[in-house]
Parts: sequence; C-alpha cells; structure tokens
Amino acid sequence: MIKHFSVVMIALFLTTPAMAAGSDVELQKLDWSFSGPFGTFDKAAMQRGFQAYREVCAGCHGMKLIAFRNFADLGYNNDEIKAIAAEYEVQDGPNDDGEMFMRPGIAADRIPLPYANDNAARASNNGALPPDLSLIAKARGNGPDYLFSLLAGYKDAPEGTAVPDGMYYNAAYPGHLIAMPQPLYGEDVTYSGGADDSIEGISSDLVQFLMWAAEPKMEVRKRIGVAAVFFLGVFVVVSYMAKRRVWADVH
Amino acid sequence: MRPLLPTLFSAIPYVGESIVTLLWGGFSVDNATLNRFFSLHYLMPFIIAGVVVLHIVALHRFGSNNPIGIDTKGPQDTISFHPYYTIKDVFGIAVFLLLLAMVVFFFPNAMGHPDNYIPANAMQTPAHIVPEWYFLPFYAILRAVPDKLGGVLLMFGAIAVLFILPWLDRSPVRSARFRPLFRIFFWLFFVDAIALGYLGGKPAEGIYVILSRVATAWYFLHFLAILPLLSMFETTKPLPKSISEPVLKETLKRAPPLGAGLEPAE
Ligand code: HEC
Repeated sequence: MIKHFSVVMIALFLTTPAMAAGSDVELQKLDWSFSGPFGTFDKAAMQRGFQAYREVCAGCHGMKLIAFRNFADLGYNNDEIKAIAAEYEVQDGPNDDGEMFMRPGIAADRIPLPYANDNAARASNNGALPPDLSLIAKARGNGPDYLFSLLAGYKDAPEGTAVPDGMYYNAAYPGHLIAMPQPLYGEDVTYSGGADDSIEGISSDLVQFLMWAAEPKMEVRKRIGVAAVFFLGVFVVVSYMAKRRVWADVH
Repeated sequence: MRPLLPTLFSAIPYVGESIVTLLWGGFSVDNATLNRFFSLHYLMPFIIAGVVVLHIVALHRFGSNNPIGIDTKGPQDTISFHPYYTIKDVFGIAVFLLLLAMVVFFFPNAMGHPDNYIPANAMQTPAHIVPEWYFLPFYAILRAVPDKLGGVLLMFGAIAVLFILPWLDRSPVRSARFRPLFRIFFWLFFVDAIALGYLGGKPAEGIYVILSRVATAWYFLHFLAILPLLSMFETTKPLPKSISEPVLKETLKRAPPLGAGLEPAE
C-alpha cells in the first residue's frame, strides 16, 4: 500500500505544470543560502540588496507590501529602522483643513511608491508597466535563479534579431525583448565594507532581498518544518511498532 | 478554470449560449458569476456529507470488502475493528501526515503556480492558463478532440464511464490478485492516466496532440472494450475457499499450531 502511495505522490509532482517559459531562455542555476530545508537568508546581503533596490530599482519599481518595520528581519534595530524611515517623505492626511501633507516616514509606513498610479508609471516607461517587486521572487518560475539571470542577462542581440526602439535584448527574459533598460552595470552602488559590487554581486544581493520580501517568514517555516518532520518521523516508527504488536497474533 | 467551465456548455447545440448566460448571470464573467460559483462550492460539502452518510449505511449493511475479494464465511474470517484497524489507520495517517508536512513546510508552492502571486487583473488574461493538476487528464481529453462538442462530451464521459463500471467489468472474481491479465491492463491504464495528466499541462501542438489522442483512445478502450472482454475470456487463478485460508496457510508455514491465538471476531 505504501509503495503504491509513493508512486501516486511522485506522479502528482510530475503532473504539476512547469512554468511555460520560452524554451530558449538562459537560466543560470545558483546555490542560494536560502534553498534547502535548512536554508537561511544572508542578513548582510539583504541589507546590501535593500541599498541596491533603493538606489537603483526604486525609481521605477514599488514594493507596496513592505513596511519599514519589516526591516527588523534584515538585522536592523529599532533606531536604525526609524532612521531609515525618516529618510523618506510620506504623504499623510487629510489634516484639520482637509489637506494632504508630507511628513518624514515612521517605522509603520510602507515604502513610498515611485508613481502615483499605473498610468503614470506607464507614461514614464514607454507604455510598459514596471511590476511591483514585493512578491516578484515567487511570481516567476524558478524565481531567484530567474531574477539573477534577468539582471545579469543583458547582452547584445544576436545577429538577425531586430530590437525595436525602447526595447532591450535580455537572454533570460521570455521572448528576449524587455522594456526595462539594463539597470545594473557594476559599481552602481557604493557598498560600505567593500562587498562585491559587480553586476553579479549586486544581483545576488538583490535576489536575497527580494526573496525575503516575497516570503519574510521562510526561515520560521523551515524551522517548524524540521521539527514537525522529526516529530512525525518518530510517530511513524512508534505507530508502526504498535501496529506490528497488535497484529502479531492475527498473522 | 473558472471562466472555462461555463463556456464548455456553449458546445451544446441550440441552448448552449443561453445556458452559458444563465451560468454567468450576464453576458460576461462578472460579480454575478463569482456569486453563483461561490454558492455552488458552498453547496458541495453538504452533498459530500450526504454521500458519506450513504457510505456508512452501506458499510453497516454489507460489511467491508477485503483485498482477496471473497465474502466472509464465518467468525474465523473476521477480526474486530478495534484495535486492529484503528491502529493500522493510525499508522497510515502518520505516514500521510509526514508526507503532507514535507510538502507544506518545504515545498509549499509545488502544486501552485507562479501566476498566483500576480495580482488579479480583470483586463488581462495570464499568458498560459493551465487548469489545476487534478483536472489535467480531463483537460487533455478535452483538447484531444478537434470538435468542441465532442471534446466536452468525451471529457464528461471520462467521469461518467466510472458510474457504469459494475456493468462493464462483470468478472465473477472481484480481486485483481487472481486476475493476472487484468493486473497488466490495470497498470497500463495507470500509466495512461498519468500520461494524460502530463499531456494536459503541455501546449496543444505537434506530438503532444497525437499522444493525447492515443492516450484518450486508450482511456475509453480500457473501459468500453478491454474490461468487458477480460471479464469474459480471462482465465483466473483458483480462489481460496475462505479469507482465513491464505492467511492461515502462511501461519502454518511459519508457526504452527494452526489458528492458535486467533481472536474470535465480533
Ligand atoms: C527605468 C526604469 C526601471 C528601472 C530602474 C528598473 N526597472 Fe525593472 N522593469 C522596468 C520596466 C518598464 C519593466 C517591464 C518590462 C516589460 O514588461 O517588458 C520592468 C520589469 C522588471 C521585472 C519583471 C520581468 C518579468 O519577468 O516580467 C523585474 C523582475 C525587474 N524589472 C527587476 C528590476 C530590478 C531588480 C531593478 C533594480 C536593479 C529594476 N528592475 C530596475 C523598469 C525599470
């Protein structure tokens, strides 16, 4: 019976539809610190990733699900979080006169969005909409590898491929023509402490940050998972022994 | 799948369009459609609860089946539900929970789809719509038929055929254990169903269409031709005289005396 069950389980996994991406996209497979059942985020890389997001991507992409207080997960303490929030101007209101007003951000605020609405975002980007990055690492198949490959995937178009105005050639993007201009060239951000600021270095920092944003509780999930699987493993063994014992006199 | 299901009814000649409008509650998928399908799904658990009651009634009337597929002949053939089956079920549930925990904690997205993390947009259909995995075999059948009405009929027929199974498989021997040919065809059918599931998740083009057609044909051939023929012509292995016989024979080999320690059944 158990044999049959595992066959069915495997079959179910096989039938899960793979994300239908173009077959000729180049996906680089990387070893992420957060993959595997014991994987954890790299706090220093996430802090650098946030810095890169803020200095490079935030001009076009919002992260509307992330509040400053969430940055406690990146290893910032309360004072640091307040200081980061205060560097932003946040709209608040209406006040007693019915007017909206600007004030420095506080820890409870979400990161302010770059555009007032989607139409404004399209208007500034040749009609293309830069997607919100809060969940992007889970909204694409093989999220982390795909994001890394995308950011490091800008190349000269191969001969014979026409690249229209306002489009750019990217080896990892399905269809290869993306409306986002190459965001990273290396040395785009100045890291304190001399971390790797090549395209690949910044990209992998961004992936750490974006993966955390998409699933802030991943470490907790895996920690509970290890305990649960251990407990249930013991339970399986004990219940099997009990079953053998009870059935001994029938067999 | 949601917008897909009502549109399937449009394949019905003459009244199809009106049925779709009725199901949608309008001329396009809208709030009314959501309400309708929500209430339908709310109704389902009650139907399932009713079927569970039927199941329990039948269990009490006729008793449970067994892997050997022959009727009980007397108390030596039965054992009590508790503790034997309660403890066996505890073990089964433990194994299931272990696998479930692995999926939940380590692969929570394995059966999901990245598109589920993109906010819904009424103005834009995702590039690749694929049904949930458990619909994929039937989706493959639907697409295997070039004709829309035919595809819909075959798809629902794939489920409907299960309801007439007792009349298709008339073999007097209930257990596959004593039906060597049936066993082979059973596993062929198993592979076929998995293949259909795989093909349902692939784009409907080229070799996939051909394979879907072959697999669909085999699906119906299995039920409509192979099962009736098998039950007529298959030579089955001899049946044991009672349930306790094969069990006791093994016991005899390992530990005589015969039947010692057998619990009297209720
Ligand atoms: C000049 C504005 C701009 C900047 C800066 C920018 N992007 Fe984009 N990005 C876009 C636009 C526009 C799109 C939509 C592309 C399309 O639809 O073809 C996009 C799309 C994306 C996508 C989605 C690709 C997909 O699979 O659909 C990701 C991921 C992304 N950007 C990440 C980033 C990251 C990370 C950064 C910072 C390093 C960044 N972007 C900087 C404009 C920008």
